[in-house]
Amino acid sequence: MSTILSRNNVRVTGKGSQPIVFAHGFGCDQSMWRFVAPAFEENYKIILFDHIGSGKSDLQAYDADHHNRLTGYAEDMLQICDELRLESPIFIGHSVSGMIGLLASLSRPGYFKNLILIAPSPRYINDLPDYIGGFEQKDIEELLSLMQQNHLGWASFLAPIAMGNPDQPELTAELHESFCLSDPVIIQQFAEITFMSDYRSELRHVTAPALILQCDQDYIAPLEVGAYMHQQIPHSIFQLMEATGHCPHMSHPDETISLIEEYLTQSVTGMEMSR
Amino acid sequence: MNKRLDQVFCGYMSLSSEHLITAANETLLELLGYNQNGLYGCHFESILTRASRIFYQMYFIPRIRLNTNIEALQLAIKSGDGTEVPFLINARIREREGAAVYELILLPMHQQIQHEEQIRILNQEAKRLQQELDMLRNSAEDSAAGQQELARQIDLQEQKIELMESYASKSKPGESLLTGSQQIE
Repeated sequence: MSTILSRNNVRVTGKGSQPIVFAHGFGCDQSMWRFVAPAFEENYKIILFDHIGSGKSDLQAYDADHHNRLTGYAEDMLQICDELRLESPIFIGHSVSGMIGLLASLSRPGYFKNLILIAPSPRYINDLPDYIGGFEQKDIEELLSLMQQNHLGWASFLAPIAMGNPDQPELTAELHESFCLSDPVIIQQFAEITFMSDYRSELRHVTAPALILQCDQDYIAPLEVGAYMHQQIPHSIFQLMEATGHCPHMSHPDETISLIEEYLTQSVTGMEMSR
Repeated sequence: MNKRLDQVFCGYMSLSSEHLITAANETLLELLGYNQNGLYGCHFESILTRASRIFYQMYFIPRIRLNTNIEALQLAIKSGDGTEVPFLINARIREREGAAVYELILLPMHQQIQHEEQIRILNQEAKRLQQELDMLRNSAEDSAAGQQELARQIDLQEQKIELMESYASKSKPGESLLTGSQQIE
């Protein structure tokens, strides 16, 4: 496997020719898509990967400068697309990866066929009176320190989890693999650049047609944020979901799948009509 | 709930597949200052602090869904009187009558947080003193006249840092928790 593909632990499946790139959000890895991605295998080519610092990515590929901006992660993803020679891929990104895909599309206009953004946010911190992001600076600082405390505690816990639990063989059997592991240092920086970011001014430059999937009662990316993104991104469709929370692809996979399928079918028909 | 579980010295909580609180033991109700009526039926998320709520959405939900259990998650819960109670939480999914339910064990961790905060403050202070020390060293090089006085000050500062470092290394996080559990055994 090439360096780029092993670097981001890239997995390619599916029988179709139209590629879909799935980008996982914060706190987990590509296994987040396991309830959704298989539904697209029949008709699409599926590309899954782990961001550097997450899952089984190559931690040696981490570069404190390169990965100090979301555009660094966007460049990583474009390198994967190039390595696989993907043509007009559809992008599906959750949370922070929604912004990563959006930034990738800005650096390469016309490349992505569609952007499907699940619970995205261009800025998490309120900028009143004009913008409600959902958080105050203080909340984000508390979150970052909570993350740090958790990672300190986990450092000593990760080993026993990975090995399973010798006292309870029935648990060990289920725990062949531990998902969502991440490198504490890299992920802490990833969190800082994510939650301190402000990409509002970029939104109006997006040319790719976009679908915004907005969950109900999402505290991380609230309704106001989704509505703002829809208003700012020129060719966007806004879809409020019945799913609650921030991870509809995990909590409500069926609704997530059907909304994506519906959008992709419509956008194909739309294109044929415009020809 | 059986009496032992109700009064065991850690919090126990059970959530429905929709993450609504369906059971909490007496110990937990006491720690949080809620009664059953106030807590049962609430969304677990709704009693978390804002930061913990994000963390729960980003870490707890995906991890427990994929791994079926989660260990040593630190979250803060808002108590009945508005204070924040930090907990160390282990959780797992079990199947009960065909539906997934979540079981949580919650250890209050005031002690550990205090130690960690203390260490953080001491580290900051040590860092500040180190910077001051460096400045003093630089100016000491410049001025031969004040050298003796400065050398004395440097000594003093170094002694202070040593004291703080030794305090910080003595109050390691988790230490008091361990001692506590040993006594109980």
